[in-house]
Amino acid sequence: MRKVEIALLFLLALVPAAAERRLLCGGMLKDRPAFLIADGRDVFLAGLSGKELLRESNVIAADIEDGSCVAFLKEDSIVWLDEKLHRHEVSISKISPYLSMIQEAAHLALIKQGILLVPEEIPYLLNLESEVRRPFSGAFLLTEKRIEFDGMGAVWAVGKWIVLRERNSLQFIDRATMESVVTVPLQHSGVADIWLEGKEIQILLQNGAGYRVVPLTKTVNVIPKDKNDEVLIRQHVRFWNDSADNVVELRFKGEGALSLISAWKRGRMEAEISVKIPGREPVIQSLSFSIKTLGEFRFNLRQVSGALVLDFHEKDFVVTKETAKIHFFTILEDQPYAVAGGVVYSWDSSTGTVRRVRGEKKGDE
Amino acid sequence: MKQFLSIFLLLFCQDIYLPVWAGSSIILRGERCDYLYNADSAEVWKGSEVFKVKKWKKLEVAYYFACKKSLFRLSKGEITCSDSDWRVTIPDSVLPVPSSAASIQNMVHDGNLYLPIRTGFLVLNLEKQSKTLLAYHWQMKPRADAGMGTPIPEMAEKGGSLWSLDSGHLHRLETGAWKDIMAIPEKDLIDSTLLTGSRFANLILFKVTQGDLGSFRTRVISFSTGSGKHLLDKEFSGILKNPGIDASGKVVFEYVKASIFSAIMGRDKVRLRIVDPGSGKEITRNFDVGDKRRHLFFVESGDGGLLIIVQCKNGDVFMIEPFSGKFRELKSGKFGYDYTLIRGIGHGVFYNEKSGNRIAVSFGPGPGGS
Repeated sequence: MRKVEIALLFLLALVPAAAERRLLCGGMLKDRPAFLIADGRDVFLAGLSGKELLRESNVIAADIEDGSCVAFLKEDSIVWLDEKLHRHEVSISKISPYLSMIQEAAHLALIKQGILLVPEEIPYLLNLESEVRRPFSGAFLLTEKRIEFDGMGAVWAVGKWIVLRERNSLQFIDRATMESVVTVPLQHSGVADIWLEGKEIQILLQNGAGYRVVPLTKTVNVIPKDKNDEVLIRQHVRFWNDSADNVVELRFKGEGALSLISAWKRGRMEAEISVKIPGREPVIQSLSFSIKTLGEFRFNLRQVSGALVLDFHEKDFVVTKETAKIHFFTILEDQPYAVAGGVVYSWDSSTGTVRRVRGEKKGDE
Repeated sequence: MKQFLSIFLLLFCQDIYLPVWAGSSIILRGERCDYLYNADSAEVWKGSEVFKVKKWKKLEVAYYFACKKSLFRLSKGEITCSDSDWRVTIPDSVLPVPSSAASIQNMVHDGNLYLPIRTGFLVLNLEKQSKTLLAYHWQMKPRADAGMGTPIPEMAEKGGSLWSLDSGHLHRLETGAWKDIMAIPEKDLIDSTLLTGSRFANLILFKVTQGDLGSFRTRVISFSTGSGKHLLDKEFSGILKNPGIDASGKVVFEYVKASIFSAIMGRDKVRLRIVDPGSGKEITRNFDVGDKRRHLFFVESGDGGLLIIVQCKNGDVFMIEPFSGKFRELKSGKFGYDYTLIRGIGHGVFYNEKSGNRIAVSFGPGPGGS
């Protein structure tokens, strides 16, 4: 019996437990959900069943993007897989020292619809079709207190154009030549949303103002802030399998000083999210979040694989649309999850598998 | 709501570092004084003092910083000096490659540059031009939006005593190793900062209790820089913003009551609270500046004391000596929103970024300024 125990302990020491694996991110590949899972310094691509499709060793970071594939960043190269999962490799002469400090494989935004970010000392964007390069310093930010790697967080792929945030400006890049065509100032504001309407690229800034830009004719129209519009943020969202954009609006509840003081006393802020589906009544959901970290209050709003993620400090709200119904999910901080094809998956660390999460349904057709 | 948040963020983030530059000029905002470098004229203004630099007639894309009367540039992994042949190769700097001329003056403390590199911090004595390496454990944190963030520790050094504030801990460098002095209590914490003078190292904690508007308070924890001995631990009510220190490390705060009445009626007042960690004494002083106060600048006087320059919305400028309570107004001249102060030792220059105008303002002894 003693020998069996020793043998079991020996085997356990040799075989890394499933619990050591970590879910990094998810996306759709060949119309099927796929996930990147870290296993020490290895990262493997797996399907919903957990079956390993491909494994890369000594990975610093990895990323997956619907239809436009997978990227694995290593010390001396970046490996990317195309739509047919063919393997390609771009060598890196000297990786940014900042990224080489990463101890465990992480999820970093590296790939986006035909563009790959190669984080050399001077990072550059690579057009995966034409192999034309463009230096991109906006991947990193330096503030007084922090060094931030934003990666592709500052890149928007909009039709045949790429929009880059570099310092206090937005640059419109011709995807074919990777040359800048138009530059507009950011007015010291963040970008709330960028979307394409016909030939026009619409920009909505966090300060409520915006631009309508036709890069081909270098036409820029400034849209002033609508002072009567109290919407905090408005985002055009195309959920998974949607044929038209929905408009998602986020506004804080209550007006005036009294409701503000009341919110402060409760220690929680109330907000309302409304999803305007074309031709239907808006679907409205209340959100509540803590304001204990108000000193650095911020939230992030992004589209991930056919879903909308509102990222507050303590939790994420995920909005999806399935069978014409809007679903809301609340995911607490540090709880690993992934979105693939508008479906939310959670990570079961005991079995090392992903499982589907059911959310709150709203808005029957 | 957005206005409320903006006001709140403004209250606590007024000292956010913004690398300001216009055309061929760049402002290097420092801990105690600032520099204005004009590449076209090859001149550097340190307050109202000006010195010429021999090289670099162009404002190249690089990091810039200054010390005494020398200007330095970090570019392509190498630091060069404007007025000497001194150059240092920096292996594996973790600073992102800059996309325009940018300041890293906030990384210069007392003649030393603390430059983050892959293995820790490189400490360069800019006067002796020596080079030492500090081991440091970096805390990288993946962000939910597929980014990565790393806090840069605050470093402060006086009289051979090096302190750092990093990842919720105050450390002191003792015989080549970092000693953990204390963990920062996280309860109700909004922000923390480290201010070190020749005699006292001060940890300043800004706090607020959730659910209580009137609960803004600031805790000051002071240590002797020589022995590392704990000297003071006091908590003060009200919003105590803009902390500053004199050369020895005595702390000065601007004090604001967290009430709507005070916000409306007290906006043309400057209230200061002065803490001496050596004696444990605390003094409060009030000054009426006649109009809404816009900016408050700490300027070091020539003898190591502290002067406070107050710029009002109507352009009036006042000078306060916080320890003596002396209060002076400029004899003539107004400096509105379009002017910012470039601080020197005991003096300054009001600078208009758009026009390039520089108007020297002296704050020497005697009534009034010039």
